[in-house]
Amino acid sequence: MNHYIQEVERIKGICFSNEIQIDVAVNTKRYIDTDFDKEINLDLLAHLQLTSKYHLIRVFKKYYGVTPRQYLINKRIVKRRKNF
Amino acid sequence: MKIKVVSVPVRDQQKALDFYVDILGFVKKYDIPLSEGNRWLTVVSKYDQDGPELLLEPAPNHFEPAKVFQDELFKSGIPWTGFYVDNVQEEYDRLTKLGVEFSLEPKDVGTVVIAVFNDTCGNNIQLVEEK
Repeated sequence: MNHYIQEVERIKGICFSNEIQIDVAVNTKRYIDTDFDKEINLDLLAHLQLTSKYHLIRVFKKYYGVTPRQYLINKRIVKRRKNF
Repeated sequence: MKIKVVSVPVRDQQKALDFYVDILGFVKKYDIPLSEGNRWLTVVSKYDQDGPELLLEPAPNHFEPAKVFQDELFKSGIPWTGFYVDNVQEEYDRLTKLGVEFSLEPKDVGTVVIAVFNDTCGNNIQLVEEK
């Protein structure tokens, strides 16, 4: 096992050990990726993941660095640009 | 400012071009002869041919510290850079059939899946799939 693989394992243990939280973040991102052109709000996203709005924002930002709303806006901008 | 070109150090530019085009599937963009057999040699993603170019530059052959740095990164298994793919497992299957060697098989790391392969030009390269 080389140094890089050891580091990946170590960092995974520190940052990515909570699989329930990761599922919430990943599922929310996938929903936005697919349905970005429909009406999406925080109530809906939280409802889909059976969690609170505040928990969802916190978890999403922890793993993707931006809030779900910022992610949605970025997604729409990128998609719009590609259409031109 | 725009990010137009990023570079990967290679020991043999022709070998690198063959690997990056024939095996990885990039497209050659510029191939401009420079002095002493060196070339300004860039490739782009076939899905984004106006996007950032990857410069296959022979720095390790002409600047000893670049060679030392590249060698040490390679020995440690650390990727020089990474490329995004839709599905790491599928790309891993495709590349291993073509003889590409992986030091890290597809691995789930939280919000991404990664794998690391040897580009045969002195570098480890990481594949990344966003989940």
